[in-house]
Amino acid sequence: MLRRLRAWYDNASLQKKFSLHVVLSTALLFALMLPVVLYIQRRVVLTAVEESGFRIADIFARSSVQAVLADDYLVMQHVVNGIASAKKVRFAMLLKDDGEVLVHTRAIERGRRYDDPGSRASAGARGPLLQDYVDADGVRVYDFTVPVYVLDEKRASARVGLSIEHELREIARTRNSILFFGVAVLALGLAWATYQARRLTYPVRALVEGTEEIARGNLGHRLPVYARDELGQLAQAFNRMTASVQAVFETSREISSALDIEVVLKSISTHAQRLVKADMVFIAPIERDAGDAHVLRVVLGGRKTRYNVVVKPGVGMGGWVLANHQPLLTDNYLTDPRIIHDPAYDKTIRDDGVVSALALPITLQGEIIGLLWAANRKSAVFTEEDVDTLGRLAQQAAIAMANARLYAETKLKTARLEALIRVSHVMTSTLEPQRIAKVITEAMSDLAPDMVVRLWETPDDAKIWVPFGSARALGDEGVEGAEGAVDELALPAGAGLVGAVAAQRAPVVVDDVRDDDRVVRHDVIEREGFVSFLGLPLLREEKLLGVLSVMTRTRRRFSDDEISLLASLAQQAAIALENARLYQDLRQSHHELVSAQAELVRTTRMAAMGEIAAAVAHEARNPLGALSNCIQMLRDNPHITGEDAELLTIMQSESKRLNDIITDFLTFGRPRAPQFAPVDLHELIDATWTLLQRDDRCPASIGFERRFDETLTSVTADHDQLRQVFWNLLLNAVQAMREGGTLSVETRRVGRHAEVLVRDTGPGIPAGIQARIFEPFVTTKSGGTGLGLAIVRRIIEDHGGRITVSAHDGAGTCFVLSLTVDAKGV
Amino acid sequence: MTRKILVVDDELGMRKSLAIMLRREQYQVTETGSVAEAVGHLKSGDFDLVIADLMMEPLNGLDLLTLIQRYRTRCPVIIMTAFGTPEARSEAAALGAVDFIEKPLQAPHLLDRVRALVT
Repeated sequence: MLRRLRAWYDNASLQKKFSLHVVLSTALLFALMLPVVLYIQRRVVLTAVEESGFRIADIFARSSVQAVLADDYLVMQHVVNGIASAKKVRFAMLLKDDGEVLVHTRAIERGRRYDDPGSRASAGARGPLLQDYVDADGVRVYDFTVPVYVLDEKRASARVGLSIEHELREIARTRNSILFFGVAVLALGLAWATYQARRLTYPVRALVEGTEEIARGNLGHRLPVYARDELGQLAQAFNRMTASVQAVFETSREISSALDIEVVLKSISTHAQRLVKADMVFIAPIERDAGDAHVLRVVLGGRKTRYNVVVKPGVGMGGWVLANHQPLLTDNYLTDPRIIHDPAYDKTIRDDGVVSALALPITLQGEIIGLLWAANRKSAVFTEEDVDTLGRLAQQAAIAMANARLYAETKLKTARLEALIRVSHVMTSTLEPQRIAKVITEAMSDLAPDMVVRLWETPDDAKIWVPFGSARALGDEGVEGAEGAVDELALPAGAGLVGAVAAQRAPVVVDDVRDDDRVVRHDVIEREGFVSFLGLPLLREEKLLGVLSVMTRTRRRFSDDEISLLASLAQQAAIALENARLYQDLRQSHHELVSAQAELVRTTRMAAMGEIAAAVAHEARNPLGALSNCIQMLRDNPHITGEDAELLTIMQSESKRLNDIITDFLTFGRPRAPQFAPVDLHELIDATWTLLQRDDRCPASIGFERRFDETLTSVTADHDQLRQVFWNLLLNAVQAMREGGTLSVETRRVGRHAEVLVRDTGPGIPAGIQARIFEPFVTTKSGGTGLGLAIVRRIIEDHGGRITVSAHDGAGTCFVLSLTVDAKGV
Repeated sequence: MTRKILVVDDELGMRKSLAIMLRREQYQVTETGSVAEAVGHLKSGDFDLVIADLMMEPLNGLDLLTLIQRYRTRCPVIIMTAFGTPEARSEAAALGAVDFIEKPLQAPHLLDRVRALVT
């Protein structure tokens, strides 16, 4: 039974319990109060009866003294009759000690002797006596006895009996009234209690419903707040708790749906701002690789959405939190004595108008991974509760940030791996150094856009470091273009950080290049805004092939991961560059071999032809010499005149021509080594032209133009051979212009070379034989030996120079001859 | 009646000596060093024979043959050359050359041929 009662009680609603308690306590109170009230009332009533009874009995006793002395009780009969006239007096009597009735309200009783115990007690009483009994009529009687003394001798007892039925009825009526009112009050109280219970437990029910709503997932549910009493506070607390749970939940949800650190930080900031009603929220993830540097990332409500401030441990609020690993709540930042102030921080605080602020660590497994600030423009806004709320948010934030970081790292690692694979694929499939450099720099800028990656090489003969490819580009454009490009970024060998990497043949890391005294190109550093540097040597079997440099525009500590990735890239690059170099060497060797072979064939053929030509020429010279002698002698004969003399002249000139041809053959077939001496180029050209003008092969209608570079004083060459060269070239030129034209000769200095350009305005060289024009026996002239240009080329090559021709069919020919100014032969 | 011969050769010595040799045989000889001039002479005068070198610049002996054919000048042409190939010989024959002789010229042989052609 008791257990069932207990079970009912446990399951009963708060309202029922409350009502039950009110009713029970009221009833208990009533039950305790009623006897006391009744007792007191009874006492009051009966004491009043007692007093009046004794007074009557006392009066009766005193008035009986005379009668007792006189032993005359007639008068007393009147007295008792008078007493008995009162309604509630049951009787009045005077008893002798032996119980004899001396006087009695009922006269008939006089003379009787009463022997009942009450009368005996009354007759024997020496002092006032009250007896309480119910008489024969069933009436409750208070029986008062007062002894009658005459001179200290007791003579009789005055006895008066009062009915207390009336009083008892009064008492009963009072009790009934009290009971009636009590029940009525109890009923009213019950109703009131029930009503109050309903009213008081309504917020609790709302709380229960709210909790159920929350449990169902409706985190937006809020309780109405009607009053500022405890229940109101409870509702407010519930609402805050729900908001906090909602924030935590939504943060969690957003975290699970977002892996991007920026999104995560923004979500945390938004929730923090709403939860503690902050004007501004700042959040600073601590870059693990950056050591002490803590950079503010996301800001809501401030002047800027992003600050780039380094939090120094111990300084400012963030610094305090970092140093103490505890939240810090300040009612006024600028006057708070706990904060070590920094002018830069204070300026930011003033600019944003921050007064009260709250900072706390974002901790994961005991390690601070970030800082969270809430700030307000009013004083003393934040409470300890806000600290707790933000603390919970910070826990979520920690997990979120750790996840995001982990995700980012995983993504980065995957990307790095992919990049490595891509790079290694390209590097094993390409043999062009430029492309290798391009692939590496592109791969790195994909992975880490803040890194500026460069590959450096040192051209063989230049004592400088240049970015890959610039030396080659330079070579294509000539010396001047190259100097411009090299000057842009070039470093003297051994200088600068690149030089340091090359010298140490080991990685060099510099956190801040602006403070590094090895830097030489401060202008470049400043212009590009570089801060941190990482340099890696490209080594291949102890051989330094180049340097890989990485610069960042923000201060950065390169992580072990990054260094190892870059080292892998450097290793790949070294292998690829070595391969490329070997390939280039191989190609070069092959090319050289092929051209050497072709040259060998050509020279062998030339030599053979030259030998034959020389042998023929040599043999032909003897009969020619004899002919020449005969002609000379015949010309001396004065009898030979007229046509015969003309025939002799023809013979002489034709034999001279034959001799020239033979001389060409011999010059070509039996070349002699040049005898080097300073030769005035311009004088030689002028002399050759003067000589040529006198030759009958030179048409008279040829104009001559000379444009000489006066800085070209002399070249080192064989004078006679050079004269042969100019003779052949100028003769060819004028012979190409039978119908007249202009011969122009230009000299100019190009670096260490003297260039001579011989131009004619003749018909040019047919495209078909242009490539073979310097080969022996190739000619465009009828009657030419085809040896002139072959001899020219041989002489120029013996001088270590070069000759090229550019000609267009019908648009003249230009020979360009290039000689080293101070050549001492090949 | 004096026969007229046109000698066309850009080699001065060859041309002159050939002209002297022919004049001594009582021919009336006109010399010229280019095909263009030769065509001019052929248009203005009546020649009994043309002796032309094969290798000349810019127009050569074969060009001269072509031009003579084009102007329908019924005048025999002897082509001479310092280095005759069979191809050149047959080409010259195709273009109407009556003879193809190689330098150095054998004077009696040449004069026999000239005599045979102009009488």
